[in-house]
Amino acid sequence: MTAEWFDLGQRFRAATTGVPVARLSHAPIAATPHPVAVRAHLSGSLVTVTACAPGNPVASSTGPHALALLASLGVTITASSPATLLTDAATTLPLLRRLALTASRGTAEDDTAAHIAWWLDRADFPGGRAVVETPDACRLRWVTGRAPAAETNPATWRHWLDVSDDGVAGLLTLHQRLTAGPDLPHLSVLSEDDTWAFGAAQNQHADGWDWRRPDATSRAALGLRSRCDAADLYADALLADPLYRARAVHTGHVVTGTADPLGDRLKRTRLTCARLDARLRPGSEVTGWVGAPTDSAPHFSATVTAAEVEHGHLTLTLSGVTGPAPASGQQATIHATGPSPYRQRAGRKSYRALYAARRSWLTTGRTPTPTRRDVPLDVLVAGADAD
Amino acid sequence: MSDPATDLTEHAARLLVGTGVDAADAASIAAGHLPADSAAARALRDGWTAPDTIPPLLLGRAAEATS
Repeated sequence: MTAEWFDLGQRFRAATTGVPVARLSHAPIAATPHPVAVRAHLSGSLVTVTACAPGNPVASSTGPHALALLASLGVTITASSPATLLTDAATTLPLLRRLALTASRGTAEDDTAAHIAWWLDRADFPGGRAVVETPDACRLRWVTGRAPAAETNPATWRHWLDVSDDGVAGLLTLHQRLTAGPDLPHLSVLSEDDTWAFGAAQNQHADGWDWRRPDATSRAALGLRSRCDAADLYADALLADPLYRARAVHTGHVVTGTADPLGDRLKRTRLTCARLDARLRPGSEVTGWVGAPTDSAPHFSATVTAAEVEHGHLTLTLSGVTGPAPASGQQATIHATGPSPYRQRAGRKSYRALYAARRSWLTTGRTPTPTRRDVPLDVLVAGADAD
Repeated sequence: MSDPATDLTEHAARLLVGTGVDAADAASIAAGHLPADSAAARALRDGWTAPDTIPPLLLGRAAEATS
């Protein structure tokens, strides 16, 4: 893989021109209606919060007053829509959790604590609807002319993105920079899922559910599945960006080569790849187009059915090519086909139903009864190959 | 913060060990002033030129965020 050297080339360009180089031509996080910029630190054993939101001045409070400050900025589970946490330190959320744990149940502070719990639950979902760690989001969108270690420092990004305010209000400006331009695809789907999760959190809070307790098995399993789905969807969204694809050639996630259609009934095309480090394997469902990785063109779909190295070149056999297939000698680009958000949602709904059903083997914890059937020889051989 | 030029040069030197590309020449190779005749050199060049390979409209959108 040569992605590190690719990044280094971008760093040299940024260092020479003095402006950050874009990694993406789309916004990696969604613009949100209600951002709240927060920093937190410990004052003795108490948590001090400094926060602001658009139209509100910067304010600072400690202990229980800090929860009231956040509530005044709309951070409450009773709000009509969730607030988005903007921060530039990894310590902020753990400190907010510590603050939330001080709230007594049934109080107004508890409503704010429940919103903080929603942030904690959704922090690792991509898309930026619940929590945005600005240095991470900036690294996704740009490269500076500094070494990677310097980019973990929020001051680096303020300098390169010309944000003069080093207080929490500067986080709001940084967020505007991050969300400028068209969104990556699927961001709206990820935002809808976050908003749906906020509604669920509101209902659970109203029903007396206590976020302080560890998750039950079903909730933990559904959370894991939701996170995997969101990560898969976001990975696919990134592949829709031409600048991201230019780099993904160097990680093997995007493959380019010269097409040679076989003209048979299986609609096979052999692709002689420009590089050996493709991550696609037999069985991979792929999406492709005629042209270079950064081009936009109508897509074809296919399945990789063979991969072999001939005379030092990787050759992939694509079968069942449907759509505008490449002609002989044309350059084609392919990558793994992404998930369907609708199928993901349907899958999670079924999964949830299995956990809700009292007699499901998932709920009872019993090992399911094996069902036996004849297995085709091809499947057995494929299974043996996989081992 | 450390000196930006120094930290980038040190980072480049670490990444380019064993590639045959001298860290002092790497920026010139990336910019196209010296030939790119190895995998590392071609990747450097690809990184430098990536923004030039996408349509100006999209590049304008990317630049919009930093202006």
